[in-house]
Amino acid sequence: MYVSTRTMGFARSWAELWHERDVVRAFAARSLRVRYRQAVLGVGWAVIQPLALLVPFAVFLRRTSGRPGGVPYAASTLAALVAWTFLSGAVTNGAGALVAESVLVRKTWFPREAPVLAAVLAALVDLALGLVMVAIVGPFLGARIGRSIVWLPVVVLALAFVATAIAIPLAALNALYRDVRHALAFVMLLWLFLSPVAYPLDRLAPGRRVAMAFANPATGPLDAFRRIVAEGRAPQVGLLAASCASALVVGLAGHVAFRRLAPLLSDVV
Amino acid sequence: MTAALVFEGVTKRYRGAAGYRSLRSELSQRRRRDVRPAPQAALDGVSFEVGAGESVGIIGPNGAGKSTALRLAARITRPTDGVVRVRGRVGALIEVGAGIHPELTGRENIWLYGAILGLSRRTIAARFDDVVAFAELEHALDLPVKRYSSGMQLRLGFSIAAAVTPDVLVVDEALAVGDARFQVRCLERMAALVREGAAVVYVSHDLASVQTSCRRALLLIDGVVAADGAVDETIGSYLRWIAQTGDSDAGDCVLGGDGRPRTVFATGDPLTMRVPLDAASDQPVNVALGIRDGNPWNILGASTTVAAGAIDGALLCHIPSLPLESGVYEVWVSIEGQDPNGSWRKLGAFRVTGGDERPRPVWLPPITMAERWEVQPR
Repeated sequence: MYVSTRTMGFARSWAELWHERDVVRAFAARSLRVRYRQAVLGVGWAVIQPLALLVPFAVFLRRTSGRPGGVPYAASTLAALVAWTFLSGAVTNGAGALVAESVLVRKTWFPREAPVLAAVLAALVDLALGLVMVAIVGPFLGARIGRSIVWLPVVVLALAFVATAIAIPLAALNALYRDVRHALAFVMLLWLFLSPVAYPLDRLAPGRRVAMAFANPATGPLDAFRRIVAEGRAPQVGLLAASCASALVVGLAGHVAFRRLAPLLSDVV
Repeated sequence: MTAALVFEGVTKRYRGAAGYRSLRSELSQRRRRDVRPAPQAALDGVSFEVGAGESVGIIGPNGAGKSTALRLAARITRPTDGVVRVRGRVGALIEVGAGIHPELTGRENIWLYGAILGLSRRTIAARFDDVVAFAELEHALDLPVKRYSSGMQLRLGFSIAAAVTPDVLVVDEALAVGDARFQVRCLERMAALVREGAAVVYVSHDLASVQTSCRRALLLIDGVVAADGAVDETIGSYLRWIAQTGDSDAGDCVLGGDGRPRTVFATGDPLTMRVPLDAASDQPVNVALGIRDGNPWNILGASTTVAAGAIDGALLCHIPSLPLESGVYEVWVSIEGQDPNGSWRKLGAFRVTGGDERPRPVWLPPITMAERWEVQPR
């Protein structure tokens, strides 16, 4: 029984999302199919973007960054770029998802989180392609893989969690206020340089690393990703946990804000 | 009978001006405490109930809040005040085809749009053939939808939306486009859902189709329920309101024998239809009038050619004796030169009362012939 005055509690709204998971899957399948049917580069974008960004980074920043984890700069940075491509794609597309589906938002009901989650899922497919690329190209750049690779599912989950936690509130804000998307492009750029992508985390003093892991929830998962995929080292679990805790706080607050704003969306999007 | 849909004192106000809203100005406005003008209430204190298996029409002039009521019922938006309760799943037919993606094939769209509307994969698999058959798209299934004609796209969208068997169905004149045969099938589908126990809320300007499809109707005027009862009476109230307020929708286009606007007639009464004309043309103009009973075709009609530049005012068509049985009818007009491609537009509406009020069989048009029966022995 739906009653308009009741805002659903967390448990019920997650239960409803799970009940409607086919809707999420449908949104994701739809955007993936359309993307890969239309663009010539559709499939290749997940692979080309990290490779292309690697070139200027490797040429200009290699000297100052040394050899992260003992492997060449290019190898570790390529892995970080693949993870970053996922993160920025998931957050950008997720934040824009409700505006992209504005027609449906105005005309039908579905759990408003669905298109945002679908964008993260679609970005995960890109991440898989990126991993395949790194598996092939990595060894040529000097990447190493060790037993720590078993951490991959956990780290990918952490990346997806961070992306979702940030995309959800942004999606609602973007749908309500039109200037958010302009700020978003700039913020993503800033975020790239504030995250250990172009440079390894080892550059920071150990004390500072934890603070950064809390302040920027992308820190832990990104650092863990490059360690296990290219450096053959174990991830720093403490940093990973700190980032996930930070993302949890942001995510919960963000979801609460999202559910408050969601009923207004169909009137203004 | 449990109520499937309940509105309790529902008020809906849309916030502020539509248009560009920026976070920056929103934050700065709060500090300056700008006073914004109080927005109009689209709905004000609306209360009604619809039970399972009941079919209710909502009629009223444009801007009365009908579409808002539907969107509230479909959970698409929330009331500013009051409560909306819905038991079960809601299906909304509001501009169907919104979720169809042109780059994907018809088949892919059935799967994906169906899932977005809430159908499980199993249900879609079970109803797939029905959807294709209803839409008559067997041969175009694997073509991308952007290659479909607009009629095909509409049929696809409607069939998918109709495959959802909701507990509450809200329909917002989504049937207003599409060819006549398809519209009839859509109304039949609605009726089938009612028989299966769904609650149907049908918003339409087409008063005659509301009368055929619903037993009960609500009249919404300026966001308030002005009438709620048997469909005949509510339609009558609406027509009376139109005549009183001179709504340009139908105001002075249907006149009685005395030349004054009238909305209710008896079979055999004189009736005059009045078409406003601009004297702009310097060529003879063909004017066609039609009377419809809720179907998208004319059951009675007449046309004439008006000499160029002869009239500045209106064209009157006098019918000495109205050959129509009781029911609700609409007057449509098509003026060559003014209406593009010979399209028709609604001019007004009227009711015929008295006589046999029993429901008539589908094959019998509501036109009297003043017939006399006689048995001739061999």
